[in-house]
Amino acid sequence: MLKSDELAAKLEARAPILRARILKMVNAAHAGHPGGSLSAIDLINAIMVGWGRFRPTQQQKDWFVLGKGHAVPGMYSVLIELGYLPEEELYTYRKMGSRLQGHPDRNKLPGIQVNTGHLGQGLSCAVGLAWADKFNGKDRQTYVMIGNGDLNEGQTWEAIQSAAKFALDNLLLVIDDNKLTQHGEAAAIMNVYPVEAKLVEFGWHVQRIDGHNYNEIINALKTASAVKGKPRAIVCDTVKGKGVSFMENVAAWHSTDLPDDLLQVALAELGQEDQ
Amino acid sequence: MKNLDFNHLLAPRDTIGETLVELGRDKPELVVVDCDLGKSTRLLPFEKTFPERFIQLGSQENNALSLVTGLATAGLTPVYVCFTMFSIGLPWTQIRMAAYGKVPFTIIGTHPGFDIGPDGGTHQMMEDLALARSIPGLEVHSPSDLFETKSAMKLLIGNDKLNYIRVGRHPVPLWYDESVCFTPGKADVWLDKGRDVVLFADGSMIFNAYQAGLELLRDDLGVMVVNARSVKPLDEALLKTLAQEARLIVSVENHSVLGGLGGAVAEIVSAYGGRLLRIGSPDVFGESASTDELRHKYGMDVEGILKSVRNKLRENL
Repeated sequence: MLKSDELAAKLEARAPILRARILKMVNAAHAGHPGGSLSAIDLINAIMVGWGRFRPTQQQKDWFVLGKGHAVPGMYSVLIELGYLPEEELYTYRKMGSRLQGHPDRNKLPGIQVNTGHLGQGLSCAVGLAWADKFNGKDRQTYVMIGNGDLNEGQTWEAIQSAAKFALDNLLLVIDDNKLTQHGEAAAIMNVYPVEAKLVEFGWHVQRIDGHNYNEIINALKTASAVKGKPRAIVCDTVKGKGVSFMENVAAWHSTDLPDDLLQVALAELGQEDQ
Repeated sequence: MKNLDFNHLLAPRDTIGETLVELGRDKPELVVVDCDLGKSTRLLPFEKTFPERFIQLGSQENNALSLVTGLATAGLTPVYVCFTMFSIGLPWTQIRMAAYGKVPFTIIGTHPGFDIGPDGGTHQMMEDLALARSIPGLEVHSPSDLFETKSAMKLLIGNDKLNYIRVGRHPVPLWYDESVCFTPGKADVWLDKGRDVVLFADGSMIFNAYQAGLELLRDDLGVMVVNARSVKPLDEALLKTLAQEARLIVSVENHSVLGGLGGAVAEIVSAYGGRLLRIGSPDVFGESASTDELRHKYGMDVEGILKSVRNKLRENL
């Protein structure tokens, strides 16, 4: 078992490659959701590759629910990393006949456990998974990632209440707080800040971290794992479009094409120019 | 011909709790999800017998359906029970997402159509069959009496499909007894005395259809009365035959004539040239009144069915 800092360094070293996959997918599809995938990718990487049990060979897997299902390029990138699908399949994203649907489809692609894409539904699904595991006495974690849009959905707050009611300490909510939704600044679109205080009032254990700092992510996961008797949340400060200078903090990169010339600029910034 | 005993009426919903208890004894993975309507949906026997398997969510219908999707994904056999308005209408996109993921569980909707009369147009769910049957992979069943409801629940819950069972609140006579075996997608013929008029009905309306059918026999008409049992899958083989043999097919439902049983029957019958009369609520919202008053207003009682059928047949001559 690696020490925390060694694990963080190992995961971080792969991050540019994971980001490059996202960009190639969006470029090949001429569409997709690059901004929110790039803000989420370090967290998905840390949870699915580094911390939880998600390898194809592992019998007892944890659950990962991508509430913000539009960030699925980040998930596909990590599933390639874990060996669920070959590298070249990323070029089929969003195309006819592909296993890589525009939003996660568990019936098409192994490694996807729950279908998502309608904001607000992911956390509820995760509450159901975690309740079932508690009921069955299963030693399994449920990780669920949501974004700013999910926080505007009333259903998310229903789920927040119910997770606390059932004291689901096997549920970990990761909030990818990149502060931008499709139309603009999350605080201006519909302000739900401060999120941490609200979660605490609802009975959750809450941490706030830098969602791109692997040491902080690993430490927060470790801290969360020691919490008993209440559901846990990690609110993550992230940057929409993180890792690509012209995409960072620009809402327009929520859902869009990435033309060939800009792809090459972005890959160069990541040190991942096409070989 | 069977005579219905209208002095002995039972509401199908009254079997929900006790049937869930029976199922719960055989299925340790069965859990029941309630949104604070368990008294009205008759869940108390289950809550009392299996409190650890009774999930009370309060008025969180959207959360409930997605949460149930999670429970089923993790291998449990959840049953979500609520008024039809809140079991199909309110959480429709959540159900659609479960169907999209091919996640199996059972939804029970009570108080359908005009069964919730005095609550008024806000709560009278006349659109659930249309909403439910348009979702790929969601099967829609509408049993008639208490024993058939019990049988449907026993057969469908835990069958690895996504099911919607529409259960009546309005007291109806008993047609079946405990030996009934619900057959999904296979209609049950209650009266088979000719093909001038075929009354094709579901849920509580089959009793009105049957009474009307007996009256029509006295008009010297050949009459068939069919309990549809399921709206999806619909008994297409039977309807295909009837479309070619019957002088008039009449759908009777406790639902809007748009998109429900009548709509489903029309989709089959239209392909084979049959004549169809659809009886149900018209394209309007209801109002506060008793179930019987509303049925009378919209021609869904025996008198109304007879009037519509006789008019239609006259038109045919």
